[in-house]
Amino acid sequence: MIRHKKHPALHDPSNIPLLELRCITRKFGVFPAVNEVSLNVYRGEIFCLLGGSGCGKTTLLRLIAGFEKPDSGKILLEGQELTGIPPYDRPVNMMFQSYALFPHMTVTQNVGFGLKQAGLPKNSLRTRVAEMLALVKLSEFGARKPHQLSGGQQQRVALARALVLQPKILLLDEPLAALDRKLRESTQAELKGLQEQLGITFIVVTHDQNEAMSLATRIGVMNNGKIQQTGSPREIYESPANHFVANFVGDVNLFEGELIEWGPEFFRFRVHEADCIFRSSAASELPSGAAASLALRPEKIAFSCSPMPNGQDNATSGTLESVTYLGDLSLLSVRLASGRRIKISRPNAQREEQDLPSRGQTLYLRWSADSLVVLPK
Amino acid sequence: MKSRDWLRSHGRALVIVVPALWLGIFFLMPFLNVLKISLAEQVIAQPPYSPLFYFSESGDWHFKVSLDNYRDLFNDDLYIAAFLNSTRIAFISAVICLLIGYPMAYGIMRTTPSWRNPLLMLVALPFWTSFLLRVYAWIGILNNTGILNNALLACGFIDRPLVIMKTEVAIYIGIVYSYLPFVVLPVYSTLEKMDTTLLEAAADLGARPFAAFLKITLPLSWPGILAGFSLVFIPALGEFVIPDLLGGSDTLMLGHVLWDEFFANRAWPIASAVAIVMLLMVLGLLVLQNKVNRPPPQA
Repeated sequence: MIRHKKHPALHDPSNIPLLELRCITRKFGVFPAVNEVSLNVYRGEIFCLLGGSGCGKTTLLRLIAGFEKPDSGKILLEGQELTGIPPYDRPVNMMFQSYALFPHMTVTQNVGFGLKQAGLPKNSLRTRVAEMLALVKLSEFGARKPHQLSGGQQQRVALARALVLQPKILLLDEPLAALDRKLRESTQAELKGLQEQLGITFIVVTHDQNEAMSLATRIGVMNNGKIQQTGSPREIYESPANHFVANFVGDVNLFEGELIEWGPEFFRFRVHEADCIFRSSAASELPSGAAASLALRPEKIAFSCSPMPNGQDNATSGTLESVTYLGDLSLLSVRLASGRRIKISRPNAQREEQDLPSRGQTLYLRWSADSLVVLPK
Repeated sequence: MKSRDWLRSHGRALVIVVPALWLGIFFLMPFLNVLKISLAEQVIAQPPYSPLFYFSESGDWHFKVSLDNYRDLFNDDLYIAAFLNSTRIAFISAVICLLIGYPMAYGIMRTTPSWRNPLLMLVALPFWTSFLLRVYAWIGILNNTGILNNALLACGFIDRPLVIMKTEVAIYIGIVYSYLPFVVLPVYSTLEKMDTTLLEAAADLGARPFAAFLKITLPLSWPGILAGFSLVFIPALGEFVIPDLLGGSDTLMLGHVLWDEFFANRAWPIASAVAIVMLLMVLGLLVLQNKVNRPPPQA
């Protein structure tokens, strides 16, 4: 099995987690929005909670901030119980999806609000607000009201307002969702830079897998109130723990197969849909004849137009149905004899069109044994 | 085809013409009439004021405007006292209404959504009964032998009936009771519009609930407070029924003075002048409110 480089904090057994969730459950009525979630977040991480809408990721964030009380379970910050402490006494701050800037206050007053509540003397308050505004490049906008700012500027005010209190953890609820694409990309980089500069641990909630991939040191994929998998972006993508993760993060071709033969270094599955044998180099313990899902990423499939000998493992053929040009890559849809469609992606290394096969052509597909992920049923 | 073109180019004007006509006939014309009377002189005739235009016997026409009524108004202690008294009573009533109505509106906003509409209905329910009837009911409560005094006497809290009727206290009770919904409803509507994540943000930044209320909720509900204040202050300024029924005969309020001048003394011109000055006061208040409430200029 491929070993991935883990976050250094996870390797060191002496490292105690900064934030520890122990079997947290939060129900709305009978419906558990967050269901027995246990999670460790370490100092200096950018931890992304990734999931679709309604998966419980925002509820989890609100539990950490203190806006929701868990029905059961414990939240520990640096080993200290946080569960009963109201939000205004928690050393964590949140950046809201809507930014929640106070509309009747200027930028300076917004950023200074938390420090004023903390009873900071006026002089040091003023310097810290000014420093923070300089850090997010808003120094000239201190006297403006929130509605006089652009979306990107409002986002930075919200960030400054939460960061100025130097929280142990900064919680960010969809921090970039309201920005347009170009701005989002540059803000992502800024956010990462800021995090490294200040050394504050971030927990980011997002539904956007690209955002999670590019920001996170670790990702927790959530569905139905449960964390399905935690791991580095590469682990999540290359070694999804289950069906849901494989499907949710990136594109995938999933096949149903049954184990027919295995040896020390190989597992062979019969896949009727693809009319071939899938050979994998890694799988967990499975009884003979057991059904398993086999995940194959579109970019891991090679194809050619020249025929290959029949009966090989990890090889099949089909008719090219469509080609979708996406600029940086093209998506090919290949229809197998069984009627099953397979997605294949290929980078567009050439500018010319000719090097792609044409529709209706027979394509011969193959993939390597270690590109297959075997998922338990 | 032609009529459709005509409609297209004049449709906007047509829509506006209806309310404009309405205001013109039922507001502007009576107002001009009152203004005219306020500039005339009192005469013993039918109607009891001098015309602004008239033809003399020689056939020339005359135009006579007199500002005497206004001068009298500001020189007579009675009127000045009535103005001050009315303003004071209206102001204090409006403040009491806010002190009671704001917490009510806030409470309604904080209950579960399914309770809000029934509670708001209860606030507005008294409007379904005649205003006059409700004020009369207060006489029965506040009288020396009324419900309140009987109850207090029976419980032994007092040994002599409290004198509430025919005092200013009774006027305050009447005005506050009658106009409370006018504070609750606008304040509720601004509170309800407020984004509750702002309060979460305040809590997140270390503000305890009361501090968050003072720094976020209160400033953001300012438009509702101002609207509620005006909605009590303005009608209370010219209130006639409540002081007449609950207050003593010696309560000097504008509504009362106006009534006396108009009906008892048949001094239509001076009564009209009182009305015009009141209108100007209210107008000034509205202009002020408009200035405060105007949204800040966009960048």
